[in-house]
Amino acid sequence: MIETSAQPVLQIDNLSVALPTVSDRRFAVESLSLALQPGEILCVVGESGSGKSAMLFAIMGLLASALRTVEGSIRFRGREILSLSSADMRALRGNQLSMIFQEPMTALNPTMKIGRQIEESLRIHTGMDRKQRRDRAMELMRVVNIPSPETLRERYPHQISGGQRQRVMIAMALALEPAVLLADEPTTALDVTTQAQILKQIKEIQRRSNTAVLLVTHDIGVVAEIADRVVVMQSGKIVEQGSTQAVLQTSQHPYTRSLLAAVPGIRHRRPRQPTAGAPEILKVADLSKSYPSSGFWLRGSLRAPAVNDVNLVVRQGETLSVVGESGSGKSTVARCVCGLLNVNRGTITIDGIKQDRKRRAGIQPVQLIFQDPNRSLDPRWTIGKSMIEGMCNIGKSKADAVERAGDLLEKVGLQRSALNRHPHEFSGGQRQRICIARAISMEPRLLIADEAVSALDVSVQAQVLSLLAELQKEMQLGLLFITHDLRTAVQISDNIAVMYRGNIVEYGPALDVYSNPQHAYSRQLFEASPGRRWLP
Amino acid sequence: MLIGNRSLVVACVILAAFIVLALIAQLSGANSQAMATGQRLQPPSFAHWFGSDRLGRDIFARVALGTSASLAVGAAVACAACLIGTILGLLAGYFRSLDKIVMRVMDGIMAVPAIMLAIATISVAGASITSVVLAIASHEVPRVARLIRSSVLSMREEPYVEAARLLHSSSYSIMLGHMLPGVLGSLAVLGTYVAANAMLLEATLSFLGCGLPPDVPTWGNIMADGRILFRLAPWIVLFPGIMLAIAVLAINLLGDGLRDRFDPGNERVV
Repeated sequence: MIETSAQPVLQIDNLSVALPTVSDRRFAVESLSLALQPGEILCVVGESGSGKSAMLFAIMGLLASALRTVEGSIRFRGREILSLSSADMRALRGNQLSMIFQEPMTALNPTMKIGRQIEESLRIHTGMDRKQRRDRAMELMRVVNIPSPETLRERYPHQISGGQRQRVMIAMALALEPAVLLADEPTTALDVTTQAQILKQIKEIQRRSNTAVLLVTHDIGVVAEIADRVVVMQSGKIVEQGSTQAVLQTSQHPYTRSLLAAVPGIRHRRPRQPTAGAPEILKVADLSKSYPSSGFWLRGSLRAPAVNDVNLVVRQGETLSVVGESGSGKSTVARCVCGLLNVNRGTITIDGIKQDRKRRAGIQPVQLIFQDPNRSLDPRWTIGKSMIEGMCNIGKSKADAVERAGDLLEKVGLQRSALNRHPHEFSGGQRQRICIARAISMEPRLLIADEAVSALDVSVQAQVLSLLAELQKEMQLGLLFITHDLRTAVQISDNIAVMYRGNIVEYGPALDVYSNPQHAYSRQLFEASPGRRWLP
Repeated sequence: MLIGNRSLVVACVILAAFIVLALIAQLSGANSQAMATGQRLQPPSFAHWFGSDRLGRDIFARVALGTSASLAVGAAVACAACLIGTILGLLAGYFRSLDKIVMRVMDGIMAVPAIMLAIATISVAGASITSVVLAIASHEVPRVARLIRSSVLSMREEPYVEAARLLHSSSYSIMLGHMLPGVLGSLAVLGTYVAANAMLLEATLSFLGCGLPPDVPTWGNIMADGRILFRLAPWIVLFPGIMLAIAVLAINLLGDGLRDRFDPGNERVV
């Protein structure tokens, strides 16, 4: 337990950050006060738009020029940092305050070797010579468990894996032994097994060098895994703070409760009636797909996302989840099934009709919902135009199509007036509803959701999932759910297939796979999911 | 944004002035061939604003009449090159099997120097405004096609295009409905550069004597005419040259302004 009497290493008092006047609220961060004690891990949790990142950037003095701090103070070891000159701030950043970003690929310089990037801050902030810098960089790489640092220091960022890149970012942040480590969603872009390792790493570093960590996340699982204390933010304000245990277990605040309730729990789902007698909507037999090897520099550094001898069955009204990490081939399976990719070998039978190997994309009974709702609607088209595109193509008159589009929008919980608006006027969750409505408009028998909720906030995720479940029940849809999130998969599926490097390593009823995983990889996957011990 | 708007405004004002000048010259019935042998090689004065040439013809009248030829060539080349280039770029980007053939032909055209290609075309087709436009446009098509192809290649991977395929939209409706509107912004920008380049190339060809027929007053022809007398009467070359420079500058400013408008990378982040 952290002693509260200790001098906080970072103290924020009454901080407000104003938003530009056109925004929907006045402040990104409003009257925020918090204290970070030495050697403590404090998690700031909230949904997108809650102001948690704005707070982090205000501390680092990296706010976008349109945002400005209007009042309050941020003190680092008692010293006010909001009024520091940019030169003083630069000296403080890196030296005392370090930051880890969400997307390690864009945060690293793609034209610089790993070793040199780690050495860069040593070169700027210390008087070390070349040899000392090199030794320190090697030491740091060993601290963050980068395998064979001698080889990796000569690599470029694109030649190493996502997890390794995030480790490099952490090594860079630690180079000058900062007193405070700020982390902005450091594991959101990573696979779940990698996430578990990175979280362990952060915890270990905090323990070893008594670094205070301020970690921003939207994932309650991460909070449960790592935090000493939690701050819950909503619309720029702190709604609750306290020890992790108190907040997760006994919180009374409605917003915190709703965040917690939205996390997919594992035992909530009631088992459905076995659907053995229902007709098969999708049958995939011995599906294989490989990509031609591309670019000479990729060879050996990336594994080809291919699929080997995959067999799957989805029956009417049934949900099958294909679970795997990035590169496991799960999306390739989805794209082969809906005809966006040609298969190399094997057969795909949809609704009893065997599909040609070289068929045109677009088989009416199969529709796909994409991961990123921001990009799956043409930004220049109105919602109405996007909605009726498919219906007009299959022979509906324009008036009928518009009528039906309006009905469908109401069905997914939007207003008819949305027809005349553009995608950018809607939130991510609303856009995903629109995409679902558009897919339903084709009257599919099989709906494929390719990571359809992973880009959404947890509470929105829950809403979209229940919408899918409702539609499935009503239309007796087969649902093929592609995801990296085992918790969600267990919650919503009848069957689960676990994919690893292009192969299905485990396939069976959801609860069997969950309660008694047979394959070592599925066990590893279940164990890696954050906050497992806390989850109901 | 402010700079973008300012250059847009300046460019539009200058181009509008050129168009008005060209219209007045055409409608007023000014005669480019009216000779006044008593007034040969007069320096600029109130009677002859831009001076007169060795046949006593008024340079201002000739330059004003030449404006329409230059603008017409610029506009026609930009339209023709954008139209053909867009069609080829869309097809090459969308149908991967066509890509290799179309783009290798484009590479071939780009390998030939513009002037040589133009001279060859004009000597086969004869000197007329149509052949000059065709000659210059054929060299500009690959530039447009390349740009459109690369935009189409990246748009192909966008989920909304894949969604359209799943919604049974035909290749052509995807190209016209989703992809063409997506490239219009950059097309407008490139179009202005093509027009500016075409005007320069047309003047060069006329100056070399293989552009429009010598009896048509164009800026290039007037300059060619005054070349041998440059030391005696520099105004004959100077004024059409200045006009050409201003026109090209204005069109480039227009392009820059449009680019700032369309390029999201230049927008202020809120």
